[in-house]
Amino acid sequence: MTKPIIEKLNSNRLFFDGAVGTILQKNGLQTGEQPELWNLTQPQFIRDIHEQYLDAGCNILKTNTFGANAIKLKGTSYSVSQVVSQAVRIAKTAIEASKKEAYIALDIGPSGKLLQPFGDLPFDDAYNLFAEVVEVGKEAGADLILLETFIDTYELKAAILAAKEHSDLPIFVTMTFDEKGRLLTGGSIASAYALAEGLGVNAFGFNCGLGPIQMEQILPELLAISSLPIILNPNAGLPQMLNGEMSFDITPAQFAASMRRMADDGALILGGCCGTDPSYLSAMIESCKEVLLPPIRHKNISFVSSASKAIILGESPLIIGERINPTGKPRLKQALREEDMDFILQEGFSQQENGAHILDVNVGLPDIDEARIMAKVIKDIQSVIDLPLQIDTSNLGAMEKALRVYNGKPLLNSVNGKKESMEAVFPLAKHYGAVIVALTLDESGIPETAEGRLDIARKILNTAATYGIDRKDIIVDPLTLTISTGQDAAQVTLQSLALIKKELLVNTVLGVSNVSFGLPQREKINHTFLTMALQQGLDAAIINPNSAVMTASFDSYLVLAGLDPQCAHYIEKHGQSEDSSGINLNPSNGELDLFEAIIKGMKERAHEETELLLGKNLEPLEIINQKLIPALDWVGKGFESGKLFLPQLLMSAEAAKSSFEAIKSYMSKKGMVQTKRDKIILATVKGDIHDIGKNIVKVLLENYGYDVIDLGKDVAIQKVVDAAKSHQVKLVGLSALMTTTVVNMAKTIQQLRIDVPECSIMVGGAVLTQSYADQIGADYYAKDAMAAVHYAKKIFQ
Amino acid sequence: MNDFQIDQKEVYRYLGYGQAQADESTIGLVQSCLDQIQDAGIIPHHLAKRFDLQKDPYGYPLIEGIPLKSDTLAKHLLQCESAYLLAATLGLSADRILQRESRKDMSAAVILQAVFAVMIESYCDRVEADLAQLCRPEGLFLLPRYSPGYGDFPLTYQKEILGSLNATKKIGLSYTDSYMLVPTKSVTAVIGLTKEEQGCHIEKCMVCDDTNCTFRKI
Repeated sequence: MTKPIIEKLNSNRLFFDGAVGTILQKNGLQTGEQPELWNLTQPQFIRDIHEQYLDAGCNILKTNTFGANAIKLKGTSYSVSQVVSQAVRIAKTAIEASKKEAYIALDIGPSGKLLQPFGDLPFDDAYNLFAEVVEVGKEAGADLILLETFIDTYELKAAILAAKEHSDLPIFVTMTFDEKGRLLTGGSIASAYALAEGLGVNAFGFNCGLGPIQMEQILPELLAISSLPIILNPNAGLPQMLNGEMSFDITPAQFAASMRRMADDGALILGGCCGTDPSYLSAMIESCKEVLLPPIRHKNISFVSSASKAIILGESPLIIGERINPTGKPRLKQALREEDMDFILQEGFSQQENGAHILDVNVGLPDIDEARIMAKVIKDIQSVIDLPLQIDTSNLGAMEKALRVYNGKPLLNSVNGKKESMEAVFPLAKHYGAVIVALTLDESGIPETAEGRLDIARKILNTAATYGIDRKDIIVDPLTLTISTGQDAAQVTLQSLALIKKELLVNTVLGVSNVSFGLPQREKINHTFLTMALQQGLDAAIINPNSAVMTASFDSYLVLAGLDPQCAHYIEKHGQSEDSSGINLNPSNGELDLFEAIIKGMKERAHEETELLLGKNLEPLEIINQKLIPALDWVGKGFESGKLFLPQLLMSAEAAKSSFEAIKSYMSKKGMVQTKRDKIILATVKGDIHDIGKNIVKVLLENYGYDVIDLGKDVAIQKVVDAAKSHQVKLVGLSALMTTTVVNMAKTIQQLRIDVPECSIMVGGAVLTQSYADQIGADYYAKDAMAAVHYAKKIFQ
Repeated sequence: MNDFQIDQKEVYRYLGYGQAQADESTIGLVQSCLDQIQDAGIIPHHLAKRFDLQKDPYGYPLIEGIPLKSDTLAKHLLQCESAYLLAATLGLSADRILQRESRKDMSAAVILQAVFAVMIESYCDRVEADLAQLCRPEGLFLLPRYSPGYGDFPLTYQKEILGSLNATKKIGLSYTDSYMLVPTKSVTAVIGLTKEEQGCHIEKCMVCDDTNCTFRKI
């Protein structure tokens, strides 16, 4: 009986086989023909290839199923089940016939489509696609699952979840990087590794794209961080054209020599990809089989990651931006209720610009569907901001949803020492691979002593270990209590922090701002407390990065603690600004008023001028009618007469938007009721992923006071219809870029006519013309964004 | 893409400026967009494959045995015995930047959109120049690239072109259900090879039927 592969790996080097596709091409496979179909049409041929690799000494066979998924097999006369089960059967037969000990890897390649939001394949569809393959492969008797040639971490996450939720088989992952160690989708070795390790894969490495020589260049980066066995399945060098035929540029001997060097360096599982054949593999196995097994050291690195960035906790202190949390923020509460994603994203952008390393995301309001909003906010933020996120919720449904849709290894806030909390949170954190914030409180409350908090931290770590969660994936929060409730509150926190770090060798985090609750001029206390906590070894501070005082303290600490080489970061950030701790009370120099700021497209100035006017007790409506609208009209006319161009129109629109934002924020603060605005739905139609045009129209319509319900791009017909019905809108704007999607525009219009006949429809987009618009039954063809504004005015007159 | 200049005049043309001079703040914004792109480390990729041009009984060119049913393409390739298939992309980082800016600042987004259009076009030009070098010893010259969407050459053939080049696996270029390329800043094309240098290699956009297009060079 063959040992399970994971056990075998403890004391043996394993060898994957090489290419199958390359051999098939040499034997008559046409470009565009599906190699997987040969499992059914030429099973003996596939079996022969397997046997040749077994003879060469390989002991893991990749089934011939790389593209055997429902998307790629569509249009053939075979099902996934037929192709995959047959492929596993062939591998099994080959192994049995050879009487050798070898494993069958169910080979799964990417879907062939790009996932949303950049492509059109939904995450759940990708998951289902992979799950189908896993189910069949498992039933047929595969020993492990190999996810190979992935270039997108999000798609990889869908595949890993499908593999682990539909089987108990070991999961091996290899991704394709370029010579600089980047994924084609923009991720790094560290960001991809962090995600895969977090999700619990059993081995990780590289395949395809590069030859072994190039992999030698990027292997050190993986060796430095990997606590998992490393797999290398390179091509037979780089591709080259020889007499019009594609071939690869290195010989079996060169291949073997390079693989040997990497085996010496510590790669454990070796094999080949495109261009390799049994001769490459047998040369490699010959030269590597005697190399001693590398000890796989636990690297104890606390990663958090986004799709493209990995950050290590515990190296240098980090800022977790706290602004996306509605507590005490009326404007954010309003935005969350209205699902005003733009406002929420602006909070993310500004924190990133001001130096946040991680963004906290908390959307908890009593009257919203937290799970749905949380998922929506996470998806939106991660599509435009490359910082890792901290999922911050006590709602378990929202927590799981967020963990699932997140593209990376997140921070999770939080677990505490209560049995109930640990039982609920640890399984989720383990399943999705999060780093968990552990609050030092339990059933008996928050201990008043450092020792008490240490005990709880220890209890949490020990319990986490029983779930298989390592201490590197726990970050302890010794809890900041309000100083006004007890004069030694801050001292106990700081002592706890130091003690926990010393005793448990674990990373720490604090929500800093809480310390000053109830006191005047809170920032003064906060920034001093921040410095004190950093001095005690705080690893991550949850603060407001938009506060110049707080980030100045943080940056200064890095300099003084010797953590900012050549003070480079400090100089870059503070070299040019004036004394940032002072508050500029008079932003206006009197030369530019709001009207001018808008027509000149000056965003910050428009915001400042608006605040100034509000400070002078001007009514919001006066500002809008006397300054904003006239400025917008002036710019709009200039654009229409050809004197101003699109960038200027939009710069002014952005300036007006920031002025409106100042007004909204003022009204939220004052608790003023905002007048109900006319609603317009905008959508880029089904199948269309280009939304620049729609977004331009949106900005201008909002400027003119309309409440734009932006359904996004690639919007299903029914979704437009449902939104039009539920919001009872009078006007829908549809955008399409290409001839292939105007068809869906026509269908959307037809359905709207049936279900919401009272609604007017305007259309626009690159391929549209007046006659096209007439043909598909639209009410209005908006040739540009201003035309859309005029039509809206007419409809809502 | 550090090693070649972005033609700013082209950027303004895409933005609809024609001969008009941009104002100071637009010039400033264009410059800051260009700086942003420099820092973003966009690495374009391409694949080019030469193939003998076989035709079906109706005269339609065949790729991997599948006829590309387009009369305008067939006419374009009338003189050609061989051709290149080309696929090029700025990659997902360009889409990420665009997505980000269109949520952050639409004026920057439209400028970046224009800059990326210029970048992918000039990248294709550069690739073509290299291919032209390769073909010259054989006495062959390149026709202007002809992309799905031109004339009556349907977008649906993205599937055949990308499939033949194995572009999804090799450079991460795929297409949506409606045959839009993703990443979006990408080009696919058929480039015919002729024995005689065509006297008039008119800029590719002049062969398009859309005479009202603002981007048309006149």
